[in-house]
Amino acid sequence: MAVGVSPAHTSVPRDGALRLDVTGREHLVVAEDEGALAELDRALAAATVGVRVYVSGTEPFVRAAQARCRAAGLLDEEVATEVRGAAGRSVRCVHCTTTTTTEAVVGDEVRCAGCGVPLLVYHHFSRRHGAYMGFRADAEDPRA
Amino acid sequence: MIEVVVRDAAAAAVDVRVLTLADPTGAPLPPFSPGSHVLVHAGGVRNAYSLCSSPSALGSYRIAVRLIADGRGGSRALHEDVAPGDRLTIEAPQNLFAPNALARHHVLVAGGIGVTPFLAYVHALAREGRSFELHYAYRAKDAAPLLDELRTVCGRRLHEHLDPSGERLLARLRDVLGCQPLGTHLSVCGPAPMMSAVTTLAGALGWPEGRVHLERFAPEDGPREPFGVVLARRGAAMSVGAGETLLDVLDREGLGVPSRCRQGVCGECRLPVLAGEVDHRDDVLTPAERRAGDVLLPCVSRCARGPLVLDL
Repeated sequence: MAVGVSPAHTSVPRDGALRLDVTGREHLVVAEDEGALAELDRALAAATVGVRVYVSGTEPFVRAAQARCRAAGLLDEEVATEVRGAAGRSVRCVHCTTTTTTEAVVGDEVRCAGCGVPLLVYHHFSRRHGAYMGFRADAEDPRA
Repeated sequence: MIEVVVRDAAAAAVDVRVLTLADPTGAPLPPFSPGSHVLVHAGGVRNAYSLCSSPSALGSYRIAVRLIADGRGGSRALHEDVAPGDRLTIEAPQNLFAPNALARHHVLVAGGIGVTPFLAYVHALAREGRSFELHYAYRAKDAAPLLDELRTVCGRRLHEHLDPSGERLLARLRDVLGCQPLGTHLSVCGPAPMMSAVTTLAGALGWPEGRVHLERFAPEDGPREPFGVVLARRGAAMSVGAGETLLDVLDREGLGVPSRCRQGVCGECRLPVLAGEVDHRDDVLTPAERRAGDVLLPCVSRCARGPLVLDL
């Protein structure tokens, strides 16, 4: 985390424990599983305004499901998330666009699975890609 | 401030006069987005009117003025004292009711004169090829301004409800709001009872607050009882009569509270409250801010349990 930046003022996602949103008319529960994302896409295509989605799983799964909900037109307030299970997150390389799954946290370095560049995991989270932004850790070092 | 000339003035419905305003030199007027309003200086007051012309036709602005017989005189002046060729002062367009840019589909619901912001909406949405439908309820054909233009622009996307009670509109919306694709946004403008009925219906059908957008023309109704106010810093006490607002009294005392719309929609006059229970009648504060009770909009809000102590 960069000095002086509070997570509250970044795009870093915040999760909670799942609770039923009684204002919803229809409820869609998504648990991590093979094929769960494809099933989510099918359910979203048929859903109408009034639906609430509840997602539970590892962080990369939850972020991918959130990105699909967002692409389908859902608002943040219509999607509840709970992260559990193995630690890990997706980092998207701004140089080659490959997404690397890693246990590194914001502020750490990770090697890009695509181009091999050492990436700084930055506190900018792309809701569209469901991934943290990673850029070359020594990008501002003229000797690199 | 913008000086404009009244290029045209015509009765458009019972008690509704449509004014076409242009730059005196013929230059284009400042651009605006759908849902924008302008403040018009007339009759010694400033009133907010939605721009009801196409945002891509900046050779003139158009406003539809409903006569408020017992109002502060602004609409009466625009009805009775203004003729083509006259000059008027307006303030640059501001928008508190812009269409959601990410919406996949817009359900627009208008009641009576509340259709005015949607004229700009449908011109823009139709031009951009975006998906929408407009439900327009009116008391009588001659109470519905600019209906022919709406029909031309909207075609089959216009659903008219000749509906003095508002019941047919609600019955239709019960079906419409129950089957909208994800990403649809609902925008409502009309009389306060209609807006609260539509909001309640949408909530019951599972629409979250973030999908429901309201434009109020008149502050929330309710009895206007006199009440007492204490200005804590000045150690002064004063009273607000039944026929006036707290902002009127603060203005009269020369306190220099900034204000703009004077109808509880812009938030400009927001003031801190130290004690007393506020009867909130604005459309600015969030439910949480209302509950906290430490701020109020003196242009419309009154006192539930007094005296109100202000940090002034």
